Amino acid sequence: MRDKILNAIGMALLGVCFAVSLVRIAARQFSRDEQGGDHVTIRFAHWQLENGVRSTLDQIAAEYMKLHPGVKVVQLPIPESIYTNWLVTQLVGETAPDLIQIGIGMTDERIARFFLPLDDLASNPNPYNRGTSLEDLPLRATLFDGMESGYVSTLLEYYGVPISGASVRMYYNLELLEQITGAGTPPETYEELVSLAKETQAYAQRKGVPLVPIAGSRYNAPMIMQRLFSSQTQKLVERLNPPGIFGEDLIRRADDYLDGRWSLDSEEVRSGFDLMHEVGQYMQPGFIQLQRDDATLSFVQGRALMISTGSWDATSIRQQASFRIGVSTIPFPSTESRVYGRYLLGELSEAGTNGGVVFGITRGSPQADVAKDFLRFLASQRMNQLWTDESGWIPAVVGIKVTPDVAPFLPVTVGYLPGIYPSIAAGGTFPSLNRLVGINLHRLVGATGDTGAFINAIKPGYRDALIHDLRRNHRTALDISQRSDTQFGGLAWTALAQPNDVKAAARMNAFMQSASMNDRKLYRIRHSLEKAEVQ
Amino acid sequence: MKTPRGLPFNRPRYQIAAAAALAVGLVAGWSHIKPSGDGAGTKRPTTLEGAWQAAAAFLFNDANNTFNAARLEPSQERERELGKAVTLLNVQPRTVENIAKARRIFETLSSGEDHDEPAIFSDYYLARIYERYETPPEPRKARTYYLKLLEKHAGHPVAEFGASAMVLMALYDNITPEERGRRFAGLEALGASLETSSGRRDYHLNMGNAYIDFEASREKALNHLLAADAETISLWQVESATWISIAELARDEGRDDLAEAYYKRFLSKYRRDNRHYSIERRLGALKNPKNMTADER
Repeated sequence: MRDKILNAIGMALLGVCFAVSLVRIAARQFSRDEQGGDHVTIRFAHWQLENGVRSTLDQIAAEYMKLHPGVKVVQLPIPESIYTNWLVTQLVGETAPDLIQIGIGMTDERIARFFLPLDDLASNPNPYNRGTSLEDLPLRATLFDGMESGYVSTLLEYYGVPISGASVRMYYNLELLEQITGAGTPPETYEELVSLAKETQAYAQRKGVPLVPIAGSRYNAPMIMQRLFSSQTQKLVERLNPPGIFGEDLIRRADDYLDGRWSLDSEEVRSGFDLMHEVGQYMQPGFIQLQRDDATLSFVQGRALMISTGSWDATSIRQQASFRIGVSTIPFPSTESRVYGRYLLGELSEAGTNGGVVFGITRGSPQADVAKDFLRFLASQRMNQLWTDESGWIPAVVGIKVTPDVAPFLPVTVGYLPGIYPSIAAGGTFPSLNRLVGINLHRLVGATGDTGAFINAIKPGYRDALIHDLRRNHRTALDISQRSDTQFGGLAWTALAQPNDVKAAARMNAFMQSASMNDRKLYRIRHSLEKAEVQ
Repeated sequence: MKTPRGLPFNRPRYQIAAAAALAVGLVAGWSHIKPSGDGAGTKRPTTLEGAWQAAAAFLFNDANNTFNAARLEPSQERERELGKAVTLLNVQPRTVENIAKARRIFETLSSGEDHDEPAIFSDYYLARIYERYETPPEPRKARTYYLKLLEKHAGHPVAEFGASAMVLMALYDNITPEERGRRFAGLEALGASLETSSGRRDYHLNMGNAYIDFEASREKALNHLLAADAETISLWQVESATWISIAELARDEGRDDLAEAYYKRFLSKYRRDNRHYSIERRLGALKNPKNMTADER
């Protein structure tokens, strides 16, 4: 009897699920069929679930629908953690929305196969800028990054349009800052930051409150630490570069290490690790084990005076915190500092910052023209003004007036290049080095952390990890080189078969240069590896 | 047949109801999944022209299928064979057998009396296979094909594209500085034989940058980079780096007017660049060395 009841419940649930699925599919089919008439529905997907983004995009969609009553715009926010799987399923299953945020999970092949090139959109004026100072400019010239963030260099075409920008800053609890210092002025230099951190610790002890100067986590702490480390190696890079080379050259930096031109014992490098050690003492104990949300919670609950994170978190933090927020650049050591001023040139430049929240149009969109029109609308000066005003994110379009809340996030254009990072590069160029530094970080920043002990721990594996990473980079460069061989055949044959096609000739020309540069990278890495293996 | 745990599926009316529900579900699902328009991906090309364009857009399997299946005039057979071989290099999954098959096709196209486009392309690809696909690589054989192309097809962009590869193969070997010096000298003559602008540009860029990498000669590095710039550099990343290199080398060689001109060119074109402020200071120091610290210099 009990079995029968359970089976009946199971069957009933199955039946309900089946019926609901049927109704939903029928409803979607109905809405798709409706488009055969005057009504068109366009869908756009993204992974920006931070506060303020979805509501702003809904407002922009509503503005568009007001202007185009026959069009319905639907937003599909997808969590970042499942974005790649969702994306691949949608693209391969031919059920992708009309516009998709480009970034996570994208490969050149996916972009080429599933997205429309947007060169025509990039090189023509945006009709939604009519009546503004941008009226006659091609769309790409109306964006602060010249639409570079939407350009796929391997495919030599534009595939996306950015609507925002991003930067990393230090956030302050202004009310706590006033209570601690008697003034609400954030520190301007690293030395002032240290002095504030000490004051904060003394304040916490005096009042008996759980308060740390800086909220740290494995996500937030590197934003400060890497920046501080790279300040100490700015002059080292200038010294290592041979005549004719200026700025960042990661293969050369790796080669310099393997050839012994710098080491973990170089005084600049030790000084960088000293800085990391020092700033780590002002974060909560065990912060390396904490996640991004732990640090944010600590800050918005008033248990930390400061937190460093990206502009993308500003609205979320402002909405969650019950106090006023101050924002400034992460304090940099002063060139006057006796301890840390010796090796640095000065504040870092952010002039080359690229746009973000880049949308592309899928090839399968049955209404690609409408999707393209909506993208132009999204990237218009008026809508980008709405974007920045409502979401609190940095605008991508030039000539936008920013609120006092957004202004501190605008890129700093006066500054120098960073030096070497603890893993040579800031990003994922040397993952084994990143791992080696990461798993030993507790020896540097923990309660018993020590620069010497940390260096001694990573030194034995640093060279091997670097060689391992160079081999990986070599494989990648070789793979790109081999893939580009077939691409070259296609481009060259097309250009030579149509000698009057100027665009085809220009693409072949640009491709040859790009391939030649990749080949040079390949040979430089191979040369470094061969030398290192001989040593 | 006994149904599991007392479910009433042995009764025909339930079986019919279940089958009907399943059928409705399948029809609804199929009509939803079946693309109503053009489909989300690209259409598979049907012509050779479309196949080449697909190859240019990384759609290697589609392009290869078309080269295999397209109906053609006999006059297009060599083009088809070339297309098959070019795409075989990257048909996924990439296999040793496919590369060997591609090599055989290139050898056939290259060996006849024809000096047509498929023959030129084939020589280029044979060089690439020996340089990049063989394990271990066979640089001597690669060089033979690159040289053959330069001797027989001067002025052809595909043939002259090999010149920049020859520079890399020769100079980035693990050799003594003396041997490298000899190789630099040997390669100097190559530039004069190049007729295409892209061939000269990429040759000069690789020569100039190699002189910098091996700190072999500032003057020669500068001359090569100037020659490359005269051919118009099409990628902004390369152009901006080359202009800075020219300015820096010119400054070190005491050619301040040239350095100033290139610093200014960079500053006026690349305003949104992390190097902008540093270059501004370098330009300032060129006019007045007190404007800059010794470390920046």
